[in-house]
Amino acid sequence: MIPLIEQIIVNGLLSGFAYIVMALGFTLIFGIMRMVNFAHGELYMIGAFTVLVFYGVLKLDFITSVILAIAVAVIVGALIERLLFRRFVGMELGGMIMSLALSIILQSLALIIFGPAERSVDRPFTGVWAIHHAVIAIDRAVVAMGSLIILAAFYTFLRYTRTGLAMQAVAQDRDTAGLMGVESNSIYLIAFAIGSGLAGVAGALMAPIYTISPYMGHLPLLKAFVVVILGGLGSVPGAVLGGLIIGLVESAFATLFNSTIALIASFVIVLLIIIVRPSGLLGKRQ
Amino acid sequence: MIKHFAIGIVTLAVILSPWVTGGKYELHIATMVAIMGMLALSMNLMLRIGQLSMAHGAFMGLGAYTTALLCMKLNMPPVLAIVIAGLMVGLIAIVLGTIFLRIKGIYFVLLTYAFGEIINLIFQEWVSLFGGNNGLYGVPKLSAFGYRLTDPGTYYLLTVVFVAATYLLIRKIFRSNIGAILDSLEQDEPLSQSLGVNPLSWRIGVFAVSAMLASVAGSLYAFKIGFLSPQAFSFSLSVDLVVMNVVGGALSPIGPLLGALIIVPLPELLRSVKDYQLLCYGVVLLVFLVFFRDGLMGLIKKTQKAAI
Amino acid sequence: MTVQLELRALKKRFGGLTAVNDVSFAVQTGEIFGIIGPNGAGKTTLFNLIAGVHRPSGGSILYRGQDITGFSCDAVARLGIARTFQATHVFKTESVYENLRRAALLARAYNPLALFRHARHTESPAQDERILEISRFIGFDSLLHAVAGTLAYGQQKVLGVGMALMTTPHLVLMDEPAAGLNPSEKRMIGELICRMRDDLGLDIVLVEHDMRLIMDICNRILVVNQGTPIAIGTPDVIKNDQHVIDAYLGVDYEFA
Repeated sequence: MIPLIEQIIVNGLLSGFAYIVMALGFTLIFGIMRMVNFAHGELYMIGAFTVLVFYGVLKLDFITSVILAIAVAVIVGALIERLLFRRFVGMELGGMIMSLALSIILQSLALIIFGPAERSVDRPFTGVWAIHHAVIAIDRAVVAMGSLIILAAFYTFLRYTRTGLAMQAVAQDRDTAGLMGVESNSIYLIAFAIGSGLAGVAGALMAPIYTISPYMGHLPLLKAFVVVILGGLGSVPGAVLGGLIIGLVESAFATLFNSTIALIASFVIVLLIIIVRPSGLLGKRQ
Repeated sequence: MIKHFAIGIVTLAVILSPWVTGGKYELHIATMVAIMGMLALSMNLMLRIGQLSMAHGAFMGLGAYTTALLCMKLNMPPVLAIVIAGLMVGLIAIVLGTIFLRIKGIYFVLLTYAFGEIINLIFQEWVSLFGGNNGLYGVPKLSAFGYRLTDPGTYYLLTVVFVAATYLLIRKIFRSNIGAILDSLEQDEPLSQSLGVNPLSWRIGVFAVSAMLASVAGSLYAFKIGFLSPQAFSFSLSVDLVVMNVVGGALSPIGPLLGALIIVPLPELLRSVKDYQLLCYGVVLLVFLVFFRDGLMGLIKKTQKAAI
Repeated sequence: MTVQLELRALKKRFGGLTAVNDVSFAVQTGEIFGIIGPNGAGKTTLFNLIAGVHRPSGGSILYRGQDITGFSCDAVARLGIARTFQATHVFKTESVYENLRRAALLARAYNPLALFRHARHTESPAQDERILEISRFIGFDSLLHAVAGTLAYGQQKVLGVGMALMTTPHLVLMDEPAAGLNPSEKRMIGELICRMRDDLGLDIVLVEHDMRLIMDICNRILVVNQGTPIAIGTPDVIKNDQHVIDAYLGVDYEFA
C-alpha cells in the first residue's frame, strides 16, 4: 500500500510541475492582458517540434535544443502579440475567438509542414532512480527539475527585476502604472513572449516523453485550463497550487483506474471547488 | 415592399430547390446545412447575451446519442425520444449553468470548453454504451404516427421546418419583452438587478433553451445519418459554430444561417486542397474578426445604410 | 407609527477592516431618514448592506418584521424596497418612456410565460397610464421621447428616481441623490423626495454628503463615523450634538 501511495505522490509531483509551467504561461498572459489564449497549446507544440528538428533530426544535444525551443516560442509569441493580440486588448470575446483562429492556423501549418503522423525522439536520459519505494524515470525527473528551475527564475524575475515589478503593476492597474511611466504595450509584449516561452519549454521538455504531432497541444491546453480555473485565473500562486493538486489527483486516479477517468475526476473536483469558491482557490473575488 | 417580396421568393426558391431537384447529394448537403444552421442558431442565442459557449458540440452529441440509445435500447417512439433527450440536456445545462454562469464570462468559456472535451472523452471511452471510436450503428429512421421517414427529400423538408421554427423563436425572443429584459441585463446589470431581476436565473434560462435546441439538432442528425461517432461532436464542431457566427454575423439570427450556408458545403468544395482546408478556415476566421467583426450580416446592414 | 426598516447591531468586516460597526436604527412610516458622516465613515457600505450588495458579517436587517439579512439585490427589490444610484444608471440608448416601461417590466420579470406574449414597445392601457403618471410626478411628461443618454446629468438622476418609483415600492433607498447636482437641481430633488413622502406615502432612507439638503428634508438623521454610529435624532438635535461637531472638526460645514 505504502509503495503505491509513494509512487502516486511521486508521479503526481512530477507531472504537476509540468502542468505548473504550462498553466503559468497561460495565467500570466491572462493576468496581464486579460486575454485567453486558445493557441497556448500550439506554442507547446511548437516547442516540441523545435526539439524534434534540432535534437531529433539535426542531432544537436538536448539541452541546446530546449534552449532553442524557448527562443522560437518566445519569438513566435512576440510576433503574434504584436501583430494580432494587441488589436484585441480590451475585447475579451474577440481576442478569445481570434486565438481560436490562430490555434487552427498554427495546427494546420504544422500539419502541412510535418504531416499528421506521430513522431518521437530518443529519450535523452535513460534509467531510473529509486527513492524509498518509489521509482522515478530520470527523464521525468529532468522535466520536473527543469520546471523547478524555470519557476524559480520566473519568481525572481517577477519579484526582483524592474520589468517584473512593472508587469505586476500593469496587471493590477494599467492606468496608474501608465502614470508611473510604465509603458503597457511593451509590458504586454514581454508578458506574452514569456508566457509563450513557458508553453514552449513545457513542450520541449515533454517532447521525448510522449509522441510529437500537430494535435499534441490539445490535451496540455485542456489541462492548463483546468489548473488555472482551479487556482484562479491570473494568479501565479494559484497556478502553482492548482498544478500540484491536479497532478496529484490525476496521478491517483490514473494509477487506480485509467487516464480518462483521471481527467474526468480532475474536472469534477474543479467543478466542486468552483461551487464553493467561484473564482478558484486563490483567485480574486468578484 | 416589393423588395421584401422578391427576397422572400428567392429565399423560398433556394430553400426548396434541393427538394425539387431531388439529387441525393444536394439533399444531403442541404439537410446538413439546415441541421448545422439550427445548431449555429442555438450558439448564437448565447452570443447574444455575451457568452461564448464551447459546449454546444457536446450538447448536440448528448442529444444525438441519447435519442439514438432511447430508440435502440428502449424501443421508445422517436418523437418521444427527441423530447426526452431535449429535456435531459436542458436539465444538464441548468445544473452546469448554475455553476458556470456565476462568474465572469471568461470562466464560462473555459469551463464549457473543458466540459465539451470531457463529454467527448466519455463518448470515446464508454464503449459499451456509446460504441467508442468505432461509433454507434443502426440508428433507426425517424418515424411518427406510423409513418417511417426514409425519403431524403421529405426528411430535408422536416429539417427546414425545424430550423425555420428555431429562427422564428430566436427572432421572437429578442423582439419580445424577454429580449428587452436580456438587453437590460447586458446594458446595465446593477440597474436591472436593483429593479428586481435575478441575472443568474435569466442566464441559466437562456443557456437551457440554447442547449435544448442543440440537443434537438443532434436528434435530427442522428436520424439522418444513422450512425454516430465521437469525432462528429468534438471541439472542432464548436469551432465551426463560432466560425459560422462570426462569418455570418452574430447580431441577427440570419447571420448564423448564412454562416452555415457557407461553411457546411466548404469542405466539399475544398476537397481538392484537403490539407489546406483547415488553414483556410483559420485565415477566413481571422480575416473576418479583424476586418468584418459583424460578419456578413453586418456588411449587408452597412451597405443598406449607406444606400439610404 | 409602525417600524418599516430596522437594523439591529449590523456589522460588516472586509478582511481586517471593520467598515460598519454595530449600527442599529429603525425607520418609521412616513419618514425621510438620513445617514451622514465624514468621508470614509462607512455610509456607502451601510447603504450597500441594506440594498443587498453585500452580506453583513453580523447583526440583522428586518423589513416590516421579516428578516431580510443577506438577501440579494433583486430579492430586496421584489419585497418593495427600491434603490437609486449615486452615479447615473439609466438605459442610455432608450427613450425616457422606454426606460420607465422597462423599470416596471423588470419589476415583474418573474413570470416568463406572460412576458413571451407581449411584443416590445406596446403596453396595456393601465401600464401606459402608470408610465404617464410617474413621468408627470418627476416632471418629465414633455420629455417622454427624449433619449435617456442625451439628458443632462441631473435629469438622468431624476429619471433614475422615476424608474425606482415604477416598481411600486414602499421604501426607497437613495445613494447620494444630490451628488453631481448644481444648487437648483439639488433643491428640485429635495422637493421631489419630500413629495415622494407626502404624496406617494413612501418611506425614504438616504445617504448624503450635502448638509443643507439633509437638514432641510430629513425627519431624523443618523451620524456615523468610522463605521460607528455617533448620534441619532432630529436635525435640530444633530446640529447641536458635540460628538457630531467634533467628527466634522476642521471641515467647513454650515449647520445653520
